[in-house]
Amino acid sequence: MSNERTKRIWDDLDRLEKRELLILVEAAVAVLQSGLEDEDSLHDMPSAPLISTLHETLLRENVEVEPSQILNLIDNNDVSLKLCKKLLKEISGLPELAKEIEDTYNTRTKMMSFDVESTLLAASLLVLSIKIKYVDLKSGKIKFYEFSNKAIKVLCEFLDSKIGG
Amino acid sequence: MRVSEIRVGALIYNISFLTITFMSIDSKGRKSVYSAGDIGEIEPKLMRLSEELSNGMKIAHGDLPNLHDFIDNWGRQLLPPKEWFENIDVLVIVPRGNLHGIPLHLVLIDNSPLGALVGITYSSGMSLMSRCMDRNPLRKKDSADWEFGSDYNSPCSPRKLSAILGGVDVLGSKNDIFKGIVTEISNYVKGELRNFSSKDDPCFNEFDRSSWKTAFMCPNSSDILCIASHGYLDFNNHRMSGLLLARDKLGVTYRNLALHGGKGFHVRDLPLRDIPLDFQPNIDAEILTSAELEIDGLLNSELVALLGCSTSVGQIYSGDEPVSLAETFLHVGACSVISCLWDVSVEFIKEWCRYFFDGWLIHRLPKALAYQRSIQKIFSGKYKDYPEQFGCIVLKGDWL
Repeated sequence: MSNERTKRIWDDLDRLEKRELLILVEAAVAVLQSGLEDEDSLHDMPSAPLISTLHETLLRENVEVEPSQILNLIDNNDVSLKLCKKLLKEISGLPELAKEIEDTYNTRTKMMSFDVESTLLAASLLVLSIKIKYVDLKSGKIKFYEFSNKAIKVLCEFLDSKIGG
Repeated sequence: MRVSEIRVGALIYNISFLTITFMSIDSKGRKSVYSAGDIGEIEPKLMRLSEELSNGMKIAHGDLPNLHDFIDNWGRQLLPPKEWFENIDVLVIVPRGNLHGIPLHLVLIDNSPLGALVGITYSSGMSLMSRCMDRNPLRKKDSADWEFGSDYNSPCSPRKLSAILGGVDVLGSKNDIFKGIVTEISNYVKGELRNFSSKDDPCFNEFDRSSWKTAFMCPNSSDILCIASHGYLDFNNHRMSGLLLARDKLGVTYRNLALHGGKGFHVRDLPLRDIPLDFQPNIDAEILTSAELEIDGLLNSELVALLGCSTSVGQIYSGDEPVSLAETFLHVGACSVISCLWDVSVEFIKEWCRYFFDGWLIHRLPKALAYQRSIQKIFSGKYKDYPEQFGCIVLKGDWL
């Protein structure tokens, strides 16, 4: 049952409304955040330090990119949503992680709450996708370091298309 | 058991530059002072806990190490020895500083949360507590007549209360769900309510700002006000925080300002602020602000239930004044308020309300004991391992 449900939400990624997609991204950030050790939470981090954190993370991975390029990418709602969608699609390839993100998403959507839409989530998701080596899931610890290359590839594609466009 | 036999104790906290101390007062008036520890040790933990609980997605994920550490370990420092609780039935907690909003009712004592051992109510100050108690109509009657079953299974003679219940989600797609919460409450307790006949009752329709405001401005307001809606917190100016409600369907209403000489001046009753730009309501919406409540609110309700996200959350102003929607309702005349310390799931709130209103209205328990009963019921059910669920609702103000 849960596998079917997981499949459904991840398959329906393109059909999710903007608000739903952002909740799913926030859920992914919350789950991945557990892999960060002894560092400040990215939750509620303002744009400037977040972009600088992303820039430093990319430099450490030998990705030469200007902070202004990242800002342009993150600032543009449509582009950052597409970037999030692409990263989520990659994440859906990890079934255990996808399941936990979806559970978190489902719990959140059943709460009496309202999430303010923030495109900064794209930057948070990128930082976590590149930086994290392992993720502590409820079902156990999983390797995540191989995901870093995929995330960088996705980012580079977007930067190229943005610059080219 | 009679109300007059209930043993009431209090814990009053104090935060100095160096230490956190608290005074316990038992039902016989005996006082003891305890040290909870150094401020340098506890304050960072309190800050981390508050930050964690303000992150709704962490709550949804269940990733709450600071909450579990508080409940299982250091939270015990903030309470007297467990023997002290054996001699009280109801506990009034008066926090201070960063202890406002900390769920002391969740701290485990012998594997049971404190809230399941004794009935708990919070009050931000002793003077507010005494005002809440003074205004409670139940205290103007002879409580010796009030008897309730200690086994919770012997319904006593019911009293008929008036109620106004309404729910609206102006931001998301949960309007029917929000209405469903109050529908379920009303269906469950409508036999105990005197102005309630059916779902089609005029008092139950989707409430707009002016309807609620009318309810809040009435000195003979309903005994129970139950609102399921989003709360908005303005961290820069609490008085501009408020409830997100539907826009007046009849257009702009007018209110009368009384002038000298018995004359009146009619003004358009516009909201004091717009909906923040971050929000994109899916229906016409307005904010009923705390400032409006403070200007016009004239409640006399026994209970206001604020069933929304984080309705008990706010900042602490100078003079140790915590500001939140729950506090505002206590300031404008409510005897007691039920509110949420953090984001809460709809299913849980329905279940909790069923137990609470069953205890309070049907079994005629005082509110704090009805609260204790709901925690006990919830703790023995499927939410046992989810303190982030069963600990989110608090009772504030008078316990009776």
